[in-house]
Amino acid sequence: MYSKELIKGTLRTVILRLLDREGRLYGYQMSKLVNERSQGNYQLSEGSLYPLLHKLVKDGLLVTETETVNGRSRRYYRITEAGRAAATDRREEFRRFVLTMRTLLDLQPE
Amino acid sequence: MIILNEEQVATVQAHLASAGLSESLSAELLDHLCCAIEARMEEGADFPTAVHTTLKSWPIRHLRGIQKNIRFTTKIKPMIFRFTTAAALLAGIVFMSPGFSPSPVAEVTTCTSHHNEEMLYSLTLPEKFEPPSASPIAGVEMEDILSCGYGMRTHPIFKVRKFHRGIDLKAKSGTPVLATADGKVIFAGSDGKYGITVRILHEDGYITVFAHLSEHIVERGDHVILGEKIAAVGSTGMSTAPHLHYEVLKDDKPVDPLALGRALPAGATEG
Repeated sequence: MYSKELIKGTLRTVILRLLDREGRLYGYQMSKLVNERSQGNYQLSEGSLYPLLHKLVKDGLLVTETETVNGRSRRYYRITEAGRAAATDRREEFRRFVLTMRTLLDLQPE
Repeated sequence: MIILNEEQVATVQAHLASAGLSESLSAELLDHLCCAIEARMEEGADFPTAVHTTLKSWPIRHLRGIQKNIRFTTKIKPMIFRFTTAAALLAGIVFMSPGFSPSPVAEVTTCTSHHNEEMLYSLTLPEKFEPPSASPIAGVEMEDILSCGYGMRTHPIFKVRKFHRGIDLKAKSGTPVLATADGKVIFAGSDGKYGITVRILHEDGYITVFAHLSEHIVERGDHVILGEKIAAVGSTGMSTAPHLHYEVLKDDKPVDPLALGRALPAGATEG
């Protein structure tokens, strides 16, 4: 489990990358996938996931599609072209950030 | 694969309804909660246990927090941003203007930042209730099905000039009637000339009245959210054909429901 600050600073990058790879997901699916892929280390709270998703929609990086599944209405989020571009930029920025941090914190690769 | 049945979904929905969330967010979180409950049931828990563990981590306070947070990040933050940009631009213009002298500018900038901070507080703390302006009939604008407007009219049964306290909306018997804002049911039952009636109390002294119904689905004391189905259109009480009589009261005085969507009422009109 990582600190709130680390999650907060990276959630947007993680969600955009996830949608860039998968194309289309719904909220529960995102938290489940992130949880699984991080072996439970990266736990995102719904309290920050949904506000972020709504913000990304407002910014035009995602669009929503509502479908009825198992008798319930389910809102899917699909990444837009602008969203894919943002995902790439943020991922690249983060890659450089990790390298910088490695130097700054004097981390040795395990 | 386990899929919750209607009754089980309704249990979860009831929990969400008590938080008074917007319709779309409520539907989205409902799906999320149901998925989480189903996942717990897949792991072997029975429904009551799964519901209990899931909802425990989703208290009402938490749900309201999400809604507030969404509102803040999508509406208020950009608004503050725009305000700050406008203030900076203004300061820039003042600074660049030919008649510029340093002292008044200093005043302008401190004053703006102070206001900005104040604005942030006033925007984040109290949530302004918006008057009920949605249509009580799903997917139809009130204007499109209006059979009799608000104000003076000749009464269809008494044939005399009388004040019409609400609006009449044409709809088939049995058409679902929806709550037009979040609120609490203060009356649901038969009410003389009004026939079967539902009255909902909202914030800011608003009450909505739905009359001549064929049945009411909600009961007195229920909390309803915007867009929730509360009743069905009928022709009970003093009515000549199936229609919905819809009234909005502000501090007990009727206001024109159609005017609420357009602009904020300047106060209650004469009854």
